[in-house]
Amino acid sequence: MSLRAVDVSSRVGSRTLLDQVSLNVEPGRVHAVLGPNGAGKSTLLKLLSGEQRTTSGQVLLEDRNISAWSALERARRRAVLPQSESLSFDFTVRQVVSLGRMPCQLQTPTRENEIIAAALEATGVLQFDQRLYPTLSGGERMRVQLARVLAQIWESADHPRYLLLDEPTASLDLAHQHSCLRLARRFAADGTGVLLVLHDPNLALTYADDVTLLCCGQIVAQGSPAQVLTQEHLERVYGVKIDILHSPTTQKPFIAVHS
Amino acid sequence: MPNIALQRLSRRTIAGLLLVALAATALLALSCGSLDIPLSRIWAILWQALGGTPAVTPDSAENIAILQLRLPRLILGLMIGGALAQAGATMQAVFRNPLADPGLIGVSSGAALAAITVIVLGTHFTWDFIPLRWLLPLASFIGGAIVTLMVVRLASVDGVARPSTLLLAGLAINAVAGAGIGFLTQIADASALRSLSFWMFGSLGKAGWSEILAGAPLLLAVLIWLPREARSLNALLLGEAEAQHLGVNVEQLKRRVLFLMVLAVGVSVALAGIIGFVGLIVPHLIRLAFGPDHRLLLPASALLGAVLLSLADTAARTVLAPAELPVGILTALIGGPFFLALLMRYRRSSEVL
Repeated sequence: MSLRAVDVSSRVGSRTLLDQVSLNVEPGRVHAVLGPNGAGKSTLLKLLSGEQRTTSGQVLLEDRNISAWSALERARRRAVLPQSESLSFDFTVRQVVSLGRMPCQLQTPTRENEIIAAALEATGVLQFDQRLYPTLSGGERMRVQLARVLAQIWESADHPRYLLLDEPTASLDLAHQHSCLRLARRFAADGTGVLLVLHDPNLALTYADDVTLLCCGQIVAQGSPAQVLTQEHLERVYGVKIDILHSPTTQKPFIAVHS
Repeated sequence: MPNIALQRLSRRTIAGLLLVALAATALLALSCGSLDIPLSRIWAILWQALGGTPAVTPDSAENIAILQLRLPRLILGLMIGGALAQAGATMQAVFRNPLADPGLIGVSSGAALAAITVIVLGTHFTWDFIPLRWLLPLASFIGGAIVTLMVVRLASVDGVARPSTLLLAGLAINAVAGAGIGFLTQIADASALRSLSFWMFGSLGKAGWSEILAGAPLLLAVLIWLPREARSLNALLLGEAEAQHLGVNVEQLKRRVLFLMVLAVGVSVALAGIIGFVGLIVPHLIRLAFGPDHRLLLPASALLGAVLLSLADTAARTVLAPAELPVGILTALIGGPFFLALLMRYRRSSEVL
């Protein structure tokens, strides 16, 4: 049981966005995808979510082609946080989050309210749940969208659930970046398969079980964070000089870029 | 900003308020006109028509004014107002833009051009294979549908409609439709000319029981069906990809609701010409008061649209009495400045403009 991309390629016209990429999102694990801008990270996430179709290869959700599932069945199994959002209508924060419950088998109203409140609480937006979404800052909006996505797969079901997050930390401050990824880990501990598109290799070192490093639509390396995020790989992919240091307090590795 | 106090009103209260407004509007519309009829007489006449105690002679002026003129006009006004308001709200959801409106984007003028073409060519050919009261809505529907397809194709880049493209496309389509209508006026005879001005400015003056028989079932179908899509339309406001991720089949949804939108606009234009801005003003006022949730927005817009159009029509036929102002002039008079005010509000928003 997993969400798998098997030799997927994506071509638009003569441009190849992804070339024969395979990847496994397994229940209970956090899989991070890294790579420079234009490497194909978001395209890969769109293929895995079923939003876009592959040019060749296939995406399998529980061993069945993703496009063979109905939109509703898919929505009950996986939630997707897109990279950018735009909402110019005056929904309140709570209304936006409750939209996440749309595909779910409806519970009692009390239980629904509990789930929505818990999701709001988890991303730290409960205290302004009556504010209007368009009045929020970029980081606040991101946390509201994250709460909406979490509400969608909040409750365990008799099938695995998947969480696909496209650069969830992009507009968040340092503290919220970490609390967001801790949430992802919490869901993984609960049996959810998590895919993260990230830019910061240090976050991947801290929070991911598996890492895929993409460049120009191809896989450069795939495996554990320590195997993938090496000095050699990162210097080759990003074209910068880096050092791998070790924290004096925890002895964990971290990555520093030479200026 | 939605008014928080208003949002806390229960749905029942909101529905109650709008229904009271609807009843008051209906009585006002039946009572006012070149012949003022007191409420007690209205009851007596309606009661008599339903088979109750005879109160007036059937061919008295009051009886004819109520039963043959004002009542069908009221019913048609309520339904067209409601349908246009819902059509506007739907279009705004599909294009995810509060400034989208079937009139601004050219759907109405496309529908009118098609209807006028049938009228003008009808004086040269005879259409005996299908009665005119069916042919006109059909032509309007096709005209509106062609424009809608064009605009959807034109303005959508990767599933996102760029607002400026949308409004500019509407400008161009309105210009072309206007030119087409202008050309047809040149070749039209005198009787066709009179009905042309009817289409250009919009009026409920043609309303009779046979119009209601033709249009009401279709308008009613739209009014009942669109609110059933409310939850999916809510999801659509987040974005097409997001709605898809929430389990909505977006392509099918858009096809369904745009069909209903064109049906509402097409039938309205065939029966009453171009009545602009109802679809822009009404959903906006409802959103301002109660927020953008379509489960409330669609039914409330239908009620408020019905009230506003009937009030405007009552005003249009009383201010210059015994002459009559086309109601479309009145709605444009209110709607134009309203639209400018909206532009002012949104001019800093890159998402809307």
